[in-house]
Amino acid sequence: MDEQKTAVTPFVEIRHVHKAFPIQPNTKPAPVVEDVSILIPHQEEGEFVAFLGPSGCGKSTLLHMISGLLSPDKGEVYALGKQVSGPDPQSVTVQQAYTCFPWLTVLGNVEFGLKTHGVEAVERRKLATEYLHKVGLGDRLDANPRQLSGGMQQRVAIARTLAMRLPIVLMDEPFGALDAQTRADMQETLLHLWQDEKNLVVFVTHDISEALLLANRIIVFSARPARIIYDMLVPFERPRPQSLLYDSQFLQLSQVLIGLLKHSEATTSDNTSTSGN
Amino acid sequence: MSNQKQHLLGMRGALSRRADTTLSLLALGIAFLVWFLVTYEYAPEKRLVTGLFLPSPIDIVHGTQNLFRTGEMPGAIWVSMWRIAQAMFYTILVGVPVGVLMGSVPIIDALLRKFVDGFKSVPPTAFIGLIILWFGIEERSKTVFLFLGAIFYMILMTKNAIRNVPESYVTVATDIGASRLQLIRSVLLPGALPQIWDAIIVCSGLMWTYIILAEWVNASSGLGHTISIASRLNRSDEVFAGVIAIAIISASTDWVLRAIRRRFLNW
Repeated sequence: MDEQKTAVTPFVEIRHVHKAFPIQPNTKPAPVVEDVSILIPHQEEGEFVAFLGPSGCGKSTLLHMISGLLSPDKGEVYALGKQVSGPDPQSVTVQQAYTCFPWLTVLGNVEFGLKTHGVEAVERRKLATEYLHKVGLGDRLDANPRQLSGGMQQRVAIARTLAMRLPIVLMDEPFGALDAQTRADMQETLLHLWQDEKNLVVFVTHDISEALLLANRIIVFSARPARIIYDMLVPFERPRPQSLLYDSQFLQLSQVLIGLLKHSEATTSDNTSTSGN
Repeated sequence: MSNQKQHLLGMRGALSRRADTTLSLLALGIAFLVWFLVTYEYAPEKRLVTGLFLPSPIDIVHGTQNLFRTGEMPGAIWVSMWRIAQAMFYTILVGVPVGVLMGSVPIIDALLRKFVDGFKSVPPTAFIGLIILWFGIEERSKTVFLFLGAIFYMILMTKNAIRNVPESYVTVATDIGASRLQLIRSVLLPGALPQIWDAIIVCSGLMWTYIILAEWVNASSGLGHTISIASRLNRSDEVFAGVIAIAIISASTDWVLRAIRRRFLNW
C-alpha cells in the first residue's frame, strides 16, 4: 500500500482479533478466530474483498465482528476509523439464510432498511423501487417474498442492503444455498451493481471460483481457528464475464488456492469442521 | 411421507382422503343410529331410554323449536356472545402487550413469570366466590370470570409466539439498525402475529366452555342460564338444545378465525 492511500481513513481495520465460543452446546469455548489483523485501505473506486476458507473455519465470525453483531474477545475492529461496538450503522450484512420478512411485500422489505435509517417515505419508495429494478425484480414489487424462489429472495435481500447505500456491505455466503445457474446469475448481477456503488464489499465464501470471479483481493483463512494464511490480489480486469472461469490464468490461481486450502486443512485437521457459523 | 397411501390398519400416517371421510362419517352415522334406536318411541311412552335420561333427536328438535318460539334462545345466544366478545376484548388488550413484553424483555419475564405460571394452574372456578365479592353479581363478574379463565393462557401463548420468531429475522433487523422499539413493533410483533392469532382461537374456545359456568351462578340470561334452568326443570331436551347451540357457535367462530388465519396470517 502506498503512503497516499493509508493517509485516508481505511475502510476497515482489524487489529489482533481473537474470538472463542463453544462449538457445540455444553462444551468449553474453543478458539474460532485467532490473532487476525487485516487492513482494508480506502479506495476511491470502491473495494471488493473476499474472505475464503473452509466451511466452519470462523470467517463468518470475523465478518460478524466487522458488522458489530459479535464483539471480539481481544483486539479491536475499526470501520471507517470508528471502533465497532455493537451493531454498526455504517455496515449492513446480507445473510446466507433467506431473511425477507413474510409479512411485508417485496417493496416493503426493501423499504424497511431505509425506514430504520430515517429516510422519508417518498424518498424511501423511490430508492427501494430503483434498487429492485436494478436486481431485476421491478415487476414483483407487490409480491409476497414467499412466492419467490430462493434466488429471488436473495435478490430482495441484496436490494434491501444496497438501497441503504452504506459505505460497508458485508456478505455472508449469500449464494451458498443456490443452484449453479442461479448462483452465476446472481454473481453477475452483484458485479454489475457494485461497479456503481464505490463502497466496500466483504464477501465470505468457501467457493474458490466465486472469490476469484468477484473480488479484488482474497484473504485465505485456515481451518478453525481462523488464521490468515494468504493474502492475494486478483489480477483480472473488470468487467469480468463468466467466461473468465475457463481462462488459463484463472485456472492457475484456482490451483494455488486449492493447494492452500488443502494444506491448511491437513495441518489443522484435529478439529473436524462442522458448519458452526 | 404424507403422500404415501397407508394400509387401512397402518400405524400413524394418513389414510386416503376418501377412506378418511367415509370412516369418520360412518362412525357418526352409527352413533346417531344407536341414539335414534334407543330413544325411539315404539309405542306411546314405550322406549328403551326415557326422554329425561336421554332425549331423542326429535325431542331436541322440539326443545330447540320451543326455545326459539319463546324468544329465549336468540336472546341467550346474543347475551353469551356479547359477554365473550367483551371478555375477549380485555383478554387481548391485556394479554397481548404483557405477553409481547415478557417474550421480548427478559427482565419483565423474570418479574412476572411466577405470577402467570402460578395463576395459570388455578381453575378460575376457585375464584367464583371472590369474584362475586369484588365485582358483584351483575354483568361485570361474568366478564371478569371469563377474562380470568383465558388471560394467563393468552399471556403465555403470546410470549411463546414471540420466542418462536426466527432468530434470523431479529439478527437482520438488528444489523440493519432497528431500535429496540422498532424490533418489537416491526419484527417481533408481526412475526408472532399468526401464533398470537392461534392463541386467540384457543382462548375463544376456552371461553365458550367457561360461559356455562359463568352464567350458571346468579345469571338471569345467556346460554348457560338457559341450560341451568332447563336442567332444574328436568327439560333434558332443552339442555341438549343449549349444548348444541354452544357447540355450533363455538365451532363456527373457530372456523371463521381459522379461515382468517389461513387467508391473511399465513407465515
